[in-house]
Amino acid sequence: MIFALLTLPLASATTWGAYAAGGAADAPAEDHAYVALGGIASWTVNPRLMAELHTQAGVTSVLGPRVDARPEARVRLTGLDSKNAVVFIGGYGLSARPDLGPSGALGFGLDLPTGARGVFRLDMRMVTDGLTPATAELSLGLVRSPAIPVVVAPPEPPPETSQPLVWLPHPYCEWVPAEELSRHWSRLPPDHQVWATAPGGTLQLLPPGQAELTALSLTPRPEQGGLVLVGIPGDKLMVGDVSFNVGADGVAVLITPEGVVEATVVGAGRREELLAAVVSGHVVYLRAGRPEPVMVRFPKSSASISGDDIERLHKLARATEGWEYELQGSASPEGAAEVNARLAAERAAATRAVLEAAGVPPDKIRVLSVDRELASDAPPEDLRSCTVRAVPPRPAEE
Amino acid sequence: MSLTLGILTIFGLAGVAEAASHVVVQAGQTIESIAADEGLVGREAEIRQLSGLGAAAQPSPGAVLLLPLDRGGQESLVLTTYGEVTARLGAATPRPLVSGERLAPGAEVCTAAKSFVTLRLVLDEATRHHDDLTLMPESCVVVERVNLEGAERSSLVSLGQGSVTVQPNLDGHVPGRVTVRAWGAVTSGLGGGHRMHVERGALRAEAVSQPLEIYGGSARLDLSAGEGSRSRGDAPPDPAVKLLIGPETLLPEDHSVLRAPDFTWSPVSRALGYQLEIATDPYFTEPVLVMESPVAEWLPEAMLLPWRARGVYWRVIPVDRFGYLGVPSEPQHLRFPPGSGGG
Repeated sequence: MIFALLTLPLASATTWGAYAAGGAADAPAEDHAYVALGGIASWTVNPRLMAELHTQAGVTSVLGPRVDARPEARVRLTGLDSKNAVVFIGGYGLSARPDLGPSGALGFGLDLPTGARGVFRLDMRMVTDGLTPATAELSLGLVRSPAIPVVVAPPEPPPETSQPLVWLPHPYCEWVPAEELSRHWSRLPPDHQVWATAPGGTLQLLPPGQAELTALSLTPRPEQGGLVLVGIPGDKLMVGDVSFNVGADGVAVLITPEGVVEATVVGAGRREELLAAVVSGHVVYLRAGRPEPVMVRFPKSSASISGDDIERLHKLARATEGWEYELQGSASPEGAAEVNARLAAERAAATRAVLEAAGVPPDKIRVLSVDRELASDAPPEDLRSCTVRAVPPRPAEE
Repeated sequence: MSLTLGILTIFGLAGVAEAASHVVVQAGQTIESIAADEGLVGREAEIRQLSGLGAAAQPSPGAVLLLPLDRGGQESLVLTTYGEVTARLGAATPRPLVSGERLAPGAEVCTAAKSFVTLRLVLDEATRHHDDLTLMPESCVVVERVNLEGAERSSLVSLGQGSVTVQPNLDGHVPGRVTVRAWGAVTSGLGGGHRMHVERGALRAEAVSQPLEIYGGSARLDLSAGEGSRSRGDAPPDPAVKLLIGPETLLPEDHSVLRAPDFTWSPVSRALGYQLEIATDPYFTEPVLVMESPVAEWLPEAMLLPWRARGVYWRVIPVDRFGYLGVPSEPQHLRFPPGSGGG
C-alpha cells in the first residue's frame, strides 16, 4: 500500500505541518488498511535530531475510524554537509481503531530540501500494534522551517578561544571554528548572514553569501569595562539615549568602552546625572541618590503655589517613571484649628492639581490626612507647606 | 641600605652551611655564643662587621645581627601588584614593579595610595613552601635579606612607612621566620599571620594567628595569637592587649552576586571602627581595596573593582580605641553580575 502525504506549511517558531496518509498489511486483517490525514509539530533538538509529534485521523478499509497520536524522533543519518538527508524514524504512541491501544513506528525517511525553507519528506514506517508489527506505511510530504531572524546578534563567544569562530544559528546554535563554516553552509538558510569573531576582535557580521573564511580580519576589540548602576526598584537607567534593563532590585549591568560614561537615573521624581570612569578589566559600581521629599511652601493663609514651586513640581512629574506620590499638607499653628486644617487640605489639593496638570495620573497621587499633631515646634514657614514624597508603586491588586 | 648591600657583596661569598641570614639577639647571648650556635665559629669578626659592631663589642638584646651567608643574597619574587608599585635599589630612581619580577637584596619597594603588592620573600622550590609579605597602601619596605638553607627560611625586612602583613604559612608547611624592624623596634615570628604598622616613633605589631616576638629597649615580649603591642625601640614593648575578634558579616551573603555595594556586618563591642578589605583571592594576598568605616556598614556611592572570573572576597577587621586591628572576619566570596566583565 502506498500512502500519500501532503504537508501544509504553517508559519510558527515551531516547524508545523499537515499530511494525508494511508497504510496496509499483507495479512488478511482488513482493518489494517487505512488512509488518513494528519499534522506534524516538530522541534529541532540539534542538527541531527528532531523531536516530533504526529497526529492523524482517517478511516480503515472497513470504514471504521482510526486516530493516531505518536511522538517520534527523527535522526539524521547522513552527514551534515550534504543537502539531502536519510533519516531514521522511531516513535511510540496511541492508536484508536476505534479501541484505544498502544502503537509504535520504526522506519526510514528521505528529506529533500526545496525552496528557501521547505523540505519534501518521503517516509516509510513499520507501524506496530502494541509491539507486534502490523502495517507498512509510506508517506510523502512537505514541511517548512520557521522563519529565522538572520541578523540577531549571537550570544557572547567562548572567552578562552584561540581561533576565529563563526556563529551557526538555528538549528545549530553554537560557535564553531571558522574553518567549518563551508561544511555547514548548505544547511543554513540562503538569506542567513554569519557572525564571526576572533581572539581580540569584535563581533562582526560577514557579507551576505560569504560561505568561507580564508583570512579573517576583524576590528580589534575596544578596551572595555563593566558598569553597574545601582538605582532603586522602579528607576529607569540610561546611558546616553539608551535605556538599560533594570533588575527588580533597581540595578542595571552593562559593558561599555573604557572612558567616561554619562549615565542618567530617572524615577521617584528625580533625574540624576552620574559620571563614571570605566576602566578596562574593571567593574565600576555607581549608586544613584535616594529620592528626597519635596517641600512646597505657601504664604501665610494661602494655598497658592509660586511659579518656582510649580516648575519644581513639573520637574518632579517629568521624572516619575511609574512611582507614586504621597502629599501631606500642613499649616502653621496661628489661627483656629479648623481653619488651619482646611488650609492644609487646600494646600495638598493645590499641589495635587499641579502634579496632575503636569501629567501624573490621578491614581498615582495620594493625599494623606492632615496631621494635627505635626511638629508644632517647627518653623512656621516650614509648616505652611505641602510635602511631596515619592513612594514605590503599589503592587497590582488581584 | 646601600651599606648593607655593599657589605653583603663583600662578605657574602665565604660561608658556612646551615647559617640563617640573621638572628635577633636574646638576653645573655654574645657574638661568640651566637657564632657557636650558628656554626660560624671563627667568623665573629665578620658578624661584628656585618652588623656594624666594633671589635669586641657585644650586641644588646633585641638587636638584629646579620650573619655571613654561603651564597650571595637571594632574591625575592613579586607575587602580585595592584595599582602603583615601585622599587629601587640604592640611590637609583624608583621604577614601576610588576608581578613576576625578582627583587635583589636591599631593594626598597613602595606602594602608592590605593595600591598593594605581595612579595614572595622566600620560596623553597623543592616543597613550594614560602613566606609572603603584603604591603598595604602608602607603605615602603626594604627587603634586607632572605635566605633558604635546607628547609629553613628566614627573611629580614625594614619597614619604612605604612603597614605590612606577613601572610600565614599554609597548613602543613614548614614555618618560615620573618623579622621586621622599624624605629629600633623589632618583631620576629614563625609561620606568618602577623601585621606590623609604622606609627610616629613606634612599631605596632599584631599577632593575628601565630605567636610573635616583639623587642624594644633590650626587652622581649612574647605575644600570643590574638594579642598586640607597641614598641618604641628605646623602651620595653607596651603590655600585650587582646585584639578584637572579627564581626559576623551580614550582607552581601557568602557566594552571592555583588549587585549593589551594600556591605553590612554585626557591630563588635568596644570597636571604634572597622577596616573592610576586598581581595581577589581568599587568602588576601591580592588585596584590591581597603576602606575604613566608623560604623558596621559601608555603602559607597562608587566602587571600582578589578573583574575576575572567580569574583572577589571581602572581610572586616575591627579596630579598637588604641588603634589595634583585630582578627579578621571569615572571608566572604562574591561573584560579579553576569554581563559585567568577561575579558
